[in-house]
Amino acid sequence: MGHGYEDRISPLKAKLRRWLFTTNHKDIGILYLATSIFFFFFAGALALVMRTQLYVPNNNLVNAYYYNQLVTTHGLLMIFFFISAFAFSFANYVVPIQIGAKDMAFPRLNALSYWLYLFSGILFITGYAMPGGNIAGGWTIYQPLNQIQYSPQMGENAAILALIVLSVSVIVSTVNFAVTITLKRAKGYRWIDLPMFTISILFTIMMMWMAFPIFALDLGLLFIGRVIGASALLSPVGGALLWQHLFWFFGHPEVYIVFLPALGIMYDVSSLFSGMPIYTKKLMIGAFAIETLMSLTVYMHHMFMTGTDLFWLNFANVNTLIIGIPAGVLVLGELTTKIKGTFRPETPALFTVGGVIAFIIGGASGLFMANIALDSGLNGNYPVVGHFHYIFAGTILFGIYSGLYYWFPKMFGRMYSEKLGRLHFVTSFVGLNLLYFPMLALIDMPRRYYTYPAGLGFTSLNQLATIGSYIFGFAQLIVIINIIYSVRRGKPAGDNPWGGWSYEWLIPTPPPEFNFDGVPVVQGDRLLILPVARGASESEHHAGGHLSPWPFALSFGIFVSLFGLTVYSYYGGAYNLILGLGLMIFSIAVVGWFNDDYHDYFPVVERDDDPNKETWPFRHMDSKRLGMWVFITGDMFVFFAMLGAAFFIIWQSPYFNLQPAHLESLTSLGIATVVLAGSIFSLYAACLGVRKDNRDMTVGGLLLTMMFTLIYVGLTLSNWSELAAAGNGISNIAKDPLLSVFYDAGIVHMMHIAAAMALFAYFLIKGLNGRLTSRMNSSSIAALFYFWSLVAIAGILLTGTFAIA
Amino acid sequence: MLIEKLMLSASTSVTSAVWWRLFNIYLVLSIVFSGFFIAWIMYLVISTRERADREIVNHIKPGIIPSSTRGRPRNVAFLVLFLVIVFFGLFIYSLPSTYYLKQVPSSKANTITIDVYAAQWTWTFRYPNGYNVTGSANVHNYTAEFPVNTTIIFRVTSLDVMHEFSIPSFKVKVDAFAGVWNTAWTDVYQQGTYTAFCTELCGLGHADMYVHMTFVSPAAYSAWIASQK
Repeated sequence: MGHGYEDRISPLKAKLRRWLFTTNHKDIGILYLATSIFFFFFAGALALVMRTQLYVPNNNLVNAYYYNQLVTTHGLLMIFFFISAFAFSFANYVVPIQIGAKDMAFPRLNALSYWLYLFSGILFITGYAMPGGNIAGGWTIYQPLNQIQYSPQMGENAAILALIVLSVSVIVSTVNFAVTITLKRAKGYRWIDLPMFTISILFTIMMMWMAFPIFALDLGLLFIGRVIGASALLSPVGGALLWQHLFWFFGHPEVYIVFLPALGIMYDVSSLFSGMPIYTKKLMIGAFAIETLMSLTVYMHHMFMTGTDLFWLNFANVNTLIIGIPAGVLVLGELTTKIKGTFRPETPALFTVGGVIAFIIGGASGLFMANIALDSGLNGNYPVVGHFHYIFAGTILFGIYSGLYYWFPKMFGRMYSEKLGRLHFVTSFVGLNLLYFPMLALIDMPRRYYTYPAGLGFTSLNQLATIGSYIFGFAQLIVIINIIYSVRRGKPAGDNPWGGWSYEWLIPTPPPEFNFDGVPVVQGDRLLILPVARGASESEHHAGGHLSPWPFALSFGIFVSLFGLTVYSYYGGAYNLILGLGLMIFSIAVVGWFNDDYHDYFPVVERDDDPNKETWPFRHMDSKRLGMWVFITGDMFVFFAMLGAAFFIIWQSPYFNLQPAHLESLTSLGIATVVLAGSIFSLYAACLGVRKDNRDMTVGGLLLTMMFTLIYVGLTLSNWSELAAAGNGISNIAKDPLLSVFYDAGIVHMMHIAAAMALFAYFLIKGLNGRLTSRMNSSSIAALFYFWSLVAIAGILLTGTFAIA
Repeated sequence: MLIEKLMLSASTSVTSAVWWRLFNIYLVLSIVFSGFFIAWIMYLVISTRERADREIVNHIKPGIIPSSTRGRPRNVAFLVLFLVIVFFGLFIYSLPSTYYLKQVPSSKANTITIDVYAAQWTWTFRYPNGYNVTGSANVHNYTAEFPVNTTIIFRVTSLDVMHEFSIPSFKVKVDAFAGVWNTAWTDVYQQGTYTAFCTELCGLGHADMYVHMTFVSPAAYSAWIASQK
C-alpha cells in the first residue's frame, strides 16, 4: 500500500516484515479478519461433522470421545476465537479512522493483542494432537467434570492455557480501545455524534473490562487445580456451584460482548442504506448503557435448575426481563430507522434485515427460557441450542457480515460481487432457519448427546436441521469465493461507494499509512480534514520506526513456554526445557521492548499534548495514566472475585466442610501493612523525584520500594513454608477449600509483584543513567504508581482476609 | 374449545399439564408479536425500497454528521411500555406456576419419596423401603415401577460430577450435585413407560445416561415393591 519504508528492501522480505512486525491498526485489522475467518471454517467444519452424526439415530460416524471434543471446541472456538475477533477486525480497521485518529493509542500493544490471539488459537488447536485429545467438558467448562480426575486429557491443559492467553489479549485490547476512543478523537467530535459502531465498541470494551479478568482468573484456578491434581475449590461438594457463579459472572456479559458490535454495525448500515438518521439516537445510546450496566446482574438465569433459593432465581428472572427491554428497543430501533427513507437493497442492508428477523425469532424463543417454570422443560435441551444460535449465527453473524460487505470496498479498494453477495444472503438465511428452527421444536431432546435412540420422535427434525446445516455451510463458501475473487478482480471502488458520512469514507481508498493526510477536525456538524504543510512531521512518520518485532516475539515466547508447560505438566521430566526455551524468547522480547522504550526508538504517532484532539471529559489525562486506570480497575475485579470466593466459602462453611487453619497471623498483617504502605509512599517519592527532575530522590524512592517489596515477598514465602511444615502447604490444598483460594490468590498476587519488580528495575536503570525526565516520563512512572498501589492494597486486603478468617 | 384442541399438549401429569398451559400461552403470544414485527419490517423494506418512479430520500451527506434528534422519544416510551406490559404481565401471570412446579408440596398424604443417585453413567432409584434399582442404556433387565395418582418427590444427588435429572414427559428437571440434595416432584395420571435423561454434559457416557420408568396403578406398585426387598 505504498508505505515508504518498504522501498529499500526486497519485496518478499518487505512483505514478511510488514505482516509480522506491523503495528498499523489497518494491517492488524486485516490480520484479525483472515485469522478469524480461518477459525470460523475450522469450527464450522466441526459443526458439520456433528450434524452429519445426528442425521440418523444410533449413528456411529463419531463416538462420544470425539463428539464431546467436537461440541466443546466448536463452542469455544466460535465464541472466543471467531465471533469476537471477527467483530474486532473491523473495530481495529475502522474505529481509529472513524474517530479521526492516525493509529491506536498503543500501536505495539495492538499488535501484541493480535499475536497473543493467533498463538493462543494455535495452542488451542495443538490440543487435538495431544494424548487424550482436546478439551471435552462443554464450553462452560463445568466442574468437577473438567478436573484432572474426570478429564485426564492433556489437550485440556493446552486449551485452558490458550484461553488464558486469549483473555490477556482481550484485556490488552480493552485498555487500548478505551484510551484510543477517549483521548484520540478529532477536536470537536462529541461523543453523541460518533458513528454507532464506535459507540457500540466503547460499550463492548466496558463489558470486556469487567468480564475478562474474571475469566482469566477462573481458568487460572482451574489450571492450578489440574496441575496439582486436586483443588478443593473445584471439589464436588460446593465447588460445582462456586464454578457456576464464577463462570457465569463472566459468561453472561460475554454474550453481550459479542452482541453489541454487531448491533452497532447494523445501526450504521440501516441508517445509511435507508438514507435516514438513526431513530432517537440518544435513547439508543442510553439503551446500550443500560445493557452494559445490567449485563452483570442477570447471569443467574443460567442456573435456574441448581436448586438455588427461588427468591434469587426470581431476582435473576426480573433482571433478565429488564435487560430484554433495551435489547428489544435496540433491535426495533433499526426497524424504525427505516421509516420514510428509501431502502437500498444492497447486500449489507439485506444482512441487516436478516439479522433483525433472526433476532425477533431468537429473542422470542429466549423469552420461554427466561421463565423459571418453562425452563423446567427446556434447560439443557435443544431449544436452548436453537435460541442462542439464532442470536449468534443469526443476528450477530449477519450483523458482522453486513459490516464485512459494508467496509470491504474501503479495506480492499474493490467492490465485492453484488450477485454473489445476495446469493450468500439468501442461502444463509434459508439455511439458518432450516438449521435452527427444528431445534426450537426439539423440545425434549437433550443437548450434547452424541447420538439418540430411535422412536422418541427426534429423527425427522434432526434430519431437517442437518440439511439446513449443509445449506448454511455451503453459503459460507460463497462469501470466501466472493472475497478471493473480488480482492483481485472486483471493480475499483472509489473513496466513497455508499455515500457514507463518517471519516472512513472521507479519506482515500486504500487509506494512507496514517489515515489522514491532514488534521481531522470537527466543526459543528461537519467532519473536516484540514490540510497541513508537508514537512518534518511527515518524514518522521516514514522513518521505518513503526515496525516492531517484539509483539510477535513476545507472543511466540509465550506460546512456546505454555506449550512446554502443557507437556511438562503431563509428563514432567526434561520437557521443562521447552518451557525454558519459551521463557528465554519471552525474556528477550521483553528486554527488547524495554530497550526500544529506553532509547525512545518507537516514535509516537500522536502525542498526548496534541491540541487537535478532543479529550473531554478526561482533559487532564494522558494515554499511559488513563490506560493504567482502565487496567487496574479491571484487575480489581480479579481480586474482588478472589475475595468473593473466599467469603462464599467462609459463609457457607458447613456446606464446604472447612477445617480451621490459621493461614495468616495478625502480626504478619501488621508487618505487611507497614511494609506495603511504606512502599506506596516511597514509590510516590520516586514519582515526585521524576516530576522535579531530582535524580537522587527518584533512585532512592525506587530502591526503597524494591526493598519493601522484597521484605513482603520474603515474609509471604516464609509464611508459606511454615504452613507447608504444618501440613497446610500448596500441595495440600485438596484438604480445605479456603486453603486453595489462599494459594490461588497468593500466586496471582505474586505474579503481579513480579511484573511490578521488572518495571521497578527498568525505571531504576533508566533513572541511574539519568534518562528519566519530567517531560518524558512523569506520566509513565505515575502509571506504575497506580499499578503498585493496587497491588499493595490488594496485598493488605488479602492478608487481612486470611488473618481474620 | 377449538383453540384448546389446536394447542400442543401431551399431558401425562399434573406438572406437565401446568407446564403446557403456560407454554401454549407463550407460544401464541410469541407467534402473534414476532409475526407482527416481522410483517412490519417486511412491509417497511418493500414499501420503501428503491424504485424508478419514486424520489430517492437521502438525508445522509458525506462529511456531515446526521442529526441525532430524529424520532420522538414518546414513541420509544410507548415501545418500552409495551415490552414492560408483555414481559412483566407474563412474569406475574406465571409466578403461581413457577411456585407450583418448583416447590415440593408439603402435604404428606399419598406421597412417596424416591432418592435418585446420579453417577457416571447410570441412574439409581432408592425406594422408601431401601430397595435400589439402577438403570441406563447399558444396563438391561431392570424394572423401576412407580405409582400413578401419587405425589412422587425425587430427592436428587450425584455421586461424582454434575448431572441433571430430567423427565421431559412430566417437565421435571433438577441439577444433581455431589453432596447436595435437590428436590423435584410430580404426580402422574397416565400409566405407561417414560424416560428420564441426563441433560448436563457429564462425560463419555452422557448420551447413554437415560433410564426407563414404568408407571402403574398404586395397587400394582404396592404389590411390586412388596415383592422387592
